[in-house]
Amino acid sequence: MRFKLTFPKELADKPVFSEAILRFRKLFNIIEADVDAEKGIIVASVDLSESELKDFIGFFEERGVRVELLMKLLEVDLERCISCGACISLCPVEAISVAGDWSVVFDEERCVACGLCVNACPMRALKLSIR
Amino acid sequence: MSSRGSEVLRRYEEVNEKIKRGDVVVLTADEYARLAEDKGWEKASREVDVVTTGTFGAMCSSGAFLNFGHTEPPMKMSRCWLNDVPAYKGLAAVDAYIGATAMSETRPFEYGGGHVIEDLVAGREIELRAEAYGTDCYPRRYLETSITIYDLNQAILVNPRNAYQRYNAATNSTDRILYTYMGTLLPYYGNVTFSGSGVLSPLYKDLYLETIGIGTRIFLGGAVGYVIGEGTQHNPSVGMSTLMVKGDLKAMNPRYLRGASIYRYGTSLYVGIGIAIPIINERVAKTAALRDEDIYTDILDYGVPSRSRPSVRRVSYAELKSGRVVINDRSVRVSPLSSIKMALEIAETLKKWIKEGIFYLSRPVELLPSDTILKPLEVRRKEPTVSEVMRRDIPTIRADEDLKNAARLLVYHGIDHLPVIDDYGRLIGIVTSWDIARAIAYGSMKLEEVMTRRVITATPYEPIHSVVAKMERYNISGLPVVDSENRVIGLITADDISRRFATRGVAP
Repeated sequence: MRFKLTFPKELADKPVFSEAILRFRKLFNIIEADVDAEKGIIVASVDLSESELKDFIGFFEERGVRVELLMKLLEVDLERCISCGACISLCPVEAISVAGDWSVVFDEERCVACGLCVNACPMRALKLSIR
Repeated sequence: MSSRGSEVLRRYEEVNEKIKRGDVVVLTADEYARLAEDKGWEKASREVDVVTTGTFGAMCSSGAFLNFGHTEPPMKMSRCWLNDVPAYKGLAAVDAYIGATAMSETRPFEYGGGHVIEDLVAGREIELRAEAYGTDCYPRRYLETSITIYDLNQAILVNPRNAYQRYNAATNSTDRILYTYMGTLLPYYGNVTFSGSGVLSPLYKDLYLETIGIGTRIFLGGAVGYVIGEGTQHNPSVGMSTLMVKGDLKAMNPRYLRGASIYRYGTSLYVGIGIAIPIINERVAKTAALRDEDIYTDILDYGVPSRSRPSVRRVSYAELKSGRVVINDRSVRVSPLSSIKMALEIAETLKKWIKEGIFYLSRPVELLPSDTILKPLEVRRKEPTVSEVMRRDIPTIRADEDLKNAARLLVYHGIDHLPVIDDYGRLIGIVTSWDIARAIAYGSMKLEEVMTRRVITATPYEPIHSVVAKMERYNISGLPVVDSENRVIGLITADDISRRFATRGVAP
């Protein structure tokens, strides 16, 4: 499961994420972290059961952190994509491959939002939904 | 041996007669290659009349002639822009040529001539801006309006170089990401990119150009187009022939003409081309049967910034299309840059056109030259090299020497860079005055600990502009100059370069 946390600037000096790690005792994979003048964001993935997920969202919301569950990190404009494959060899997690009919297919679940494919797409058909 | 282009197995008239009757046998090039593999090329060549090919890749030498019609009062446009992309105006009053790689002056790298062509073909509105100096016969001096392809008198795609017979593949040996016309190349041979459609490649399937010549009717951008001659850089002796093609943009389909933005390189146009090859003789029958396994190219190292890049290895299109290639015992991923899916679609479409009797083959008026060669451009103006600017009498130091000694040498010679050498005079590191400052700040007193081991170097015959580029890229101000054995023979700094050109008063 992937999620995006948006921290208000008031929480900038609080170790909220570490607290969550200790509390839920889960292995989190941080995909992206960014801080600007207004807010901080963390995009991460973790395995949680239904009930854990409810607690997890509650934990952050109580502290004023917005939680969004992310299904897709990468948006593919299939109208623009010509299945050239310029992106394939750049993907660090091999989330992009070629199907039997030479269509380029994206496993958005596996995407870690590195953005290499987005820049390399000559058709500008790719976009990261978290940026 | 029959002469090139001889129609021993079948003549164009017979093929066209069969198309008319509706019993022509057409296969796409991959189907034909499989048939020839199963039954042998002799049998395949007796059964099959025509083989269709296709390719859909970035073809930078592409563009279109446009005629805008005359305004009231009329204007002899001397400069013009389409959606802020400059078009060539060294032609008559309202004729222009929009080239695929011309970039928008307001959105460079994102939008260019290739996109203007796609937008025109898609029927979208384009902003036209033009300037003129004004004459008695053409008084208007400025114009801003919008046009669509339907307003134009002519919109003719004329591409000086398309459809390379085959092209090299690319990789990158350096330690940084390279952004090239061959796409993004990851460091340390991290990936391979290639172009061309292999088994479907139009010019490779007629390897000796026996059926493709001036006047050959082709699939171009979704409509009928023509070969009008050999392309620029046509180089048949090494299997890198090219075509010059033309077609009516007004009849084309934006699915097969797509503007492209190649990251940190520029804009281009993806062009769809398909050629139908009649199996006229045994040589054509054999080359049309070549499989991906039989078609080879070189993987070149784009980390070497030279027109003659070294080949890392030979590779077949079969290996490239498998998605992985072995380089230095490591399996790396491969990206095609041209769309094989679209190439197949084009070959299938052309096959359908022929079967339905809406596309007939044409015998070339003249075959393409088979003996042209590719010449380089020599730089005849003398360019200053490192050896003319570098300092030769520079101090060096050994790695086991005292840091204090290094500081003393820097001060005594009034320099900022001190190469560190081994017993044979070979470069193993560099110490700068900044390194000394850092050593004092952190209390380290060992030269070995503060020196930089990965040193960016220059060679004596390297042009100065190449050294300037390295200084900018690595944010450094001085480079040791080394010979072929990596022995230090001098030092070149930003100060040396600016002093040299300040006194001459000429920029490099």
